[in-house]
Amino acid sequence: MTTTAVSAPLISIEGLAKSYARNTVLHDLNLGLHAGRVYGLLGENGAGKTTFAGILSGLTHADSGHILIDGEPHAFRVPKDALDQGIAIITQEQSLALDRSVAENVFSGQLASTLGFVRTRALREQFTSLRDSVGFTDLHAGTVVRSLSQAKRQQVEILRALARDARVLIMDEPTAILSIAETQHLLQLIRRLAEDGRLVLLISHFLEDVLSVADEVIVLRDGAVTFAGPTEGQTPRTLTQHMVGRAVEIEHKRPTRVAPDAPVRLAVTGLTRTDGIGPVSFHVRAGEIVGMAGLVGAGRSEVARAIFGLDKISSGTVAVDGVELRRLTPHNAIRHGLAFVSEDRKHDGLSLVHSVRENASLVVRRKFARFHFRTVRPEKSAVGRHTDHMMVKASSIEQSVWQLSGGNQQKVMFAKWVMTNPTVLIVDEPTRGVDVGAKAQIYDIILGLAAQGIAIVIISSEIEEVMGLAHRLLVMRRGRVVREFDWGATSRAEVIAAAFGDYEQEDDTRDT
Amino acid sequence: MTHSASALLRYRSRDLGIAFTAIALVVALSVSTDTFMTPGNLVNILDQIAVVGILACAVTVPMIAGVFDLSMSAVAALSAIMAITVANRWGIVAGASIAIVIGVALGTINGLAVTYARVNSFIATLATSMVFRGIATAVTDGQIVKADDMSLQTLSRPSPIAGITWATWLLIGVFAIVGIVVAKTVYGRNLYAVGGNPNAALVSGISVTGTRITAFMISGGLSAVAGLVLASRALSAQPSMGTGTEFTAIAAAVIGGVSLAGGAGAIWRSVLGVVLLQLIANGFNLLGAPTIYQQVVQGALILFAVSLDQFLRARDG
Ligand SMILES: Nc1ncnc2c1ncn2[C@@H]1O[C@H](COP(=O)(O)OP(=O)(O)OP(=O)(O)O)[C@@H](O)[C@H]1O
Ligand SMILES: [Mg+2]
Repeated sequence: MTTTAVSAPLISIEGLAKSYARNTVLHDLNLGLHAGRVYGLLGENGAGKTTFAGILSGLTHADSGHILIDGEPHAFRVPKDALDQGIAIITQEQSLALDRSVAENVFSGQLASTLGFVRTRALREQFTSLRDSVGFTDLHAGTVVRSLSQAKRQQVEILRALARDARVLIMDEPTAILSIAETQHLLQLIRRLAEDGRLVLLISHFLEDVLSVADEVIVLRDGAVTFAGPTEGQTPRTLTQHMVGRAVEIEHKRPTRVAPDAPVRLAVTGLTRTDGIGPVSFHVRAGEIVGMAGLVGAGRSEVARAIFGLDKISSGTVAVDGVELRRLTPHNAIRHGLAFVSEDRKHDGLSLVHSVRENASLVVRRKFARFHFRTVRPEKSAVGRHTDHMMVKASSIEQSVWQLSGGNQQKVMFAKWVMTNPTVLIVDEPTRGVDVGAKAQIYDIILGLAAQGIAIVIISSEIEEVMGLAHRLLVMRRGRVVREFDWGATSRAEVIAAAFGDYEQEDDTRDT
Repeated sequence: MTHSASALLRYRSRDLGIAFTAIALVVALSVSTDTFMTPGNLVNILDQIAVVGILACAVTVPMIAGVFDLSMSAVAALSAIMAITVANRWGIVAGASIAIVIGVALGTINGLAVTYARVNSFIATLATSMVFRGIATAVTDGQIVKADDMSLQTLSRPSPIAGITWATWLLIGVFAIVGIVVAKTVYGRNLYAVGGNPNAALVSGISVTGTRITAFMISGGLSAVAGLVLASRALSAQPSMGTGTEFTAIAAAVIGGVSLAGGAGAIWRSVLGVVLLQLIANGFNLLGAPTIYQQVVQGALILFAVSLDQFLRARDG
């Protein structure tokens, strides 16, 4: 440890600054990063983490300042320039060529070739050896990426960055959509990479992950470094202090009791999807929060999408306040008071070119119209109220959503659905990519909505989150609900065991 | 496992779909007419698809890279005019060479407009096609340019092998070369990477700009080749020749399964699309059916192919 600290840094950052119009995103950053170490980069949503990573990898350009590699100054015009210096990035938003094979995506830009012709066999062999060294054994070279789940696609991105054999690996929230096991895998891999002498810069909102894997942490707040130093001695509490300037404690209290005779607001009976997921039956009473846990691919999001009419079902019914929905379409669902915050903000959540206001008021726009003409002022104030409440960081509500940081986009999507005053709110991964402060806020909002009598279904891969918020926790596995727990009646380990299916042998045989 | 198997089946079923349609048409026409399966008719079909076939190969290259070239027939016209003008003074070899050089140069202009000037490729190439045809009119004074030398006509004549015309051989050559470049080379893979996700390509160190400019150069050069075939038919060239052919080429590519969104497709698909369209036309011709319905059928086929593309995309997110 001491020897590396004395040696010269691999990357030195001197006076780096960046602004968008009048919004200064990075102020005069000065840092020294050493080879063989893992750096955790922390900060609130919009603190400038992705912007910093972008500058280091040639995706974004700094206004002023220098990047020195081995003491030599470098200016990266395009990512290729950074790659040539051995710097590879896994970006926050997924970017893959969906219609191409896994192996082709992984080795894109550096395919093995003779005289310009791709050596297909060599490509496969290279892929297999890389994959096995990393341990993503269920990825196959020839699979078309479009047919893979989000988590598997993430593994492809990780492999692509590793395939560069880079000296420096930047990972912008790589675990946001991975399950527990996959995350553990990745953290081990990061450790191994550092032991091989690589420098890893890990951006994450999971403080425990960062504490367990990073040698040093760098905390950004409003574009300035508020802390940079060894991980030793830091706790989630101190880190949050650096991030937001105050201590944020997420402590789940027993949720307010739901009367056993409270009316059932959402009743799902025998719901089976055309792709075979199901049958699933459950109900949610007024004021009740029902959590759904399970591995990625267990069918939680699929059930939610089917309830909301986004995907087709082959049998089953959905009733809201005792009224059965005759046809499951999003339009019908919204009319009956359902709201659904989907997990994929890019795909079915937001219209990126439009403003925060237009996105947030998309569903409720009729409310702000008189004789079909829009009345802007009440719309503005309502959107402003909700986005403030949700702690959205934007220069104004007229800013385009694509300009917001990832976590802030997530909050806008949440605001959009809360604004509809739903009777039933289904939220899928509501805190993905959201910082600790805003997370606590979102929890408060969810609890507050429940207290108003709204029925809530919350799906999350963060077990603490669902365990802490939900009155009842349903664990799904292979498209079915396999267990149910009351609040406080279980442990994290028990939930994981249920999700993996190693708690009850006979259940396994029934399923297969 | 079942998930990926069904996905695979979906992709395959699409391949099978076009191949099946083509085979079904061939069988139906062979059975219902006795003129279809004659050497004369087949040679004729192959000769008739030469121009559109070459253009379909050409347009597929930028399409895979996620951009459109709508200036192809204008490029064909302008380069054919220059070819004949030059050939009349310095001979056919010089004429043909200059045509290709001009085609590539015009393609480069398209590429620069789309990448550096960041004009949407649809608009950019629509605009340049007006410019190119304008120049062609200025150069020729709006007149037909006639070839003095008959050697240009060789392209339209039968070759010693199976009576197939030289134009057909040219199409086969273009198909083979472009097909191999797209399917087997690193450059070909870069086309798919750029069209599939420009951001991903950028992060992988691929030059999106360079790849797209080269794609336009290829489509420009091949448009000039198509222009030469057109000129050989009439032994002349004129500013309005071939107008609109690129739309037929794009339609053929789409029918074959080349994605309008970029990043997916293959040269053989486009050529198969051209063959399908031609089989329909030929069928109407041989059966003596009214040609108005021919357009109805071809149009319906295009709608079907595009909606299938959309459907498959929507399904898999
Ligand atoms: N293209 C752009 N135009 C204008 N503003 C931008 C643009 N890109 C980023 N910003 C702004 O820069 C700030 C920092 O964004 P950045 O994406 O770096 O945040 P982050 O720390 O990665 O946040 P998160 O945790 O939510 O991902 C934000 O306020 C964002 O709105
Ligand atoms: Mg970010």
